[in-house]
Amino acid sequence: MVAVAALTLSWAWLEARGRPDSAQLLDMAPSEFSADSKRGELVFHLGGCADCHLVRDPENPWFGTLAGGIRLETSFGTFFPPNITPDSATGIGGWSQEDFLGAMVLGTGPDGRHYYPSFPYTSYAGSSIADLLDLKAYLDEQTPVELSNVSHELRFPYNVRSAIGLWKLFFHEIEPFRPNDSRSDEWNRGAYIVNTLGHCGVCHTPRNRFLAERDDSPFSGGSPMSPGAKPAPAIAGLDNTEILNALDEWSGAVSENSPMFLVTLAFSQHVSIADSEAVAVYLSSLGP
Amino acid sequence: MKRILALAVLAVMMPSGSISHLDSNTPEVVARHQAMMFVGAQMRVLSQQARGAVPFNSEQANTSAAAIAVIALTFPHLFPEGSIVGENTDALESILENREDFKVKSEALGKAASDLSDIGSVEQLSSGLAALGQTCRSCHSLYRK
Repeated sequence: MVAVAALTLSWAWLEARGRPDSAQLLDMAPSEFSADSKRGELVFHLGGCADCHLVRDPENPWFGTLAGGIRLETSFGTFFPPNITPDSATGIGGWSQEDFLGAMVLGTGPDGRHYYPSFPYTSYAGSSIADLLDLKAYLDEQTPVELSNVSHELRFPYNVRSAIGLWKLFFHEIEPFRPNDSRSDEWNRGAYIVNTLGHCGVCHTPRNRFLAERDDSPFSGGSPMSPGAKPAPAIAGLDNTEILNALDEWSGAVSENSPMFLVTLAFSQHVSIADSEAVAVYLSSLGP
Repeated sequence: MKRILALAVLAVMMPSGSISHLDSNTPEVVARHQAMMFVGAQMRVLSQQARGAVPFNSEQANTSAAAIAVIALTFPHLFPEGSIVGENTDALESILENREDFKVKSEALGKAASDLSDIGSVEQLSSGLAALGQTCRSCHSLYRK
């Protein structure tokens, strides 16, 4: 057993050396790039950040602050999303651009802690560095709220955070999105949104026994993440209209008690019709 | 080899399980899916106009609204006793216990669609469509998985 662990760790160390660090990520930003919070607002809504991080105003549940958010109940325990307001003590106000890219792409905090993949860095990692820096600019402009983070309540063995480092070596690929030149710009825009910022696969792709999304059947319907929870439906190969209705609050297709409704609202209210259509073009082109 | 060993370490820490989908559509389920898809397609016509993706065209909008109103009449009849079975239906059996409410909600959908059948402006269309979508959602929230 000791030998297995030693081999695993030495292999892991070798493997880890080949991965970029957050400073290298920052170097990947376009030359003469300057982050724009207005563009970042769109990234925020495409990324569904509020779905988890919004502490809802009891008077108006679609508004609130980004100081924590929902309880994410799963079979492994409860995750509590952290404060992402620019408060320097309890939020991410003290973070540099490198720190932010480290979290979004590498899934690692400024203190070197591995994040649980309940935070969908496995998808965000493919986002363009420009989009992520725009997003940081937008978050930096939000109202700081002083509210300490709540620790996740996970059962053994899921509470062994260091195991996530090992998991990441296998299942967290740090690959920027690459467009498919044989497809249209619209298809590629859809593919980018769905696979990176939109992190659709987190709910809609089945997971393997290591709880990683399965590469062989993307968007073919999710795995139940808690007992009795209804898995998210298949969205690959759906009719174009069905996808667009799911992204449109006026269609009434998605009910208010569905976790999807927040995505529907974000797309209806903040995302352009062109981007919604790109998502539909891409998803409907995939085999069911 | 190291990779296999490391996977083995992870394997003992993880639960196993798989999900299978059964294909068992009954004629009632097919009828419901087709009716819902039809309404969805008409909603799309209306929504594209309301959101400015295509120019406002009152005749087309009126046709789609009227078509939804007609299909709404069928909804109370699409969920007969014993038809809410199988993997492919998202309907909840509570429809059967709340027949009257289900009928009232179907009628509300028909009424909201009829209200849209005489629209003259894109502003009217937007507010009417939001109300129409709300009637769809009021049923989906209660009677769909």
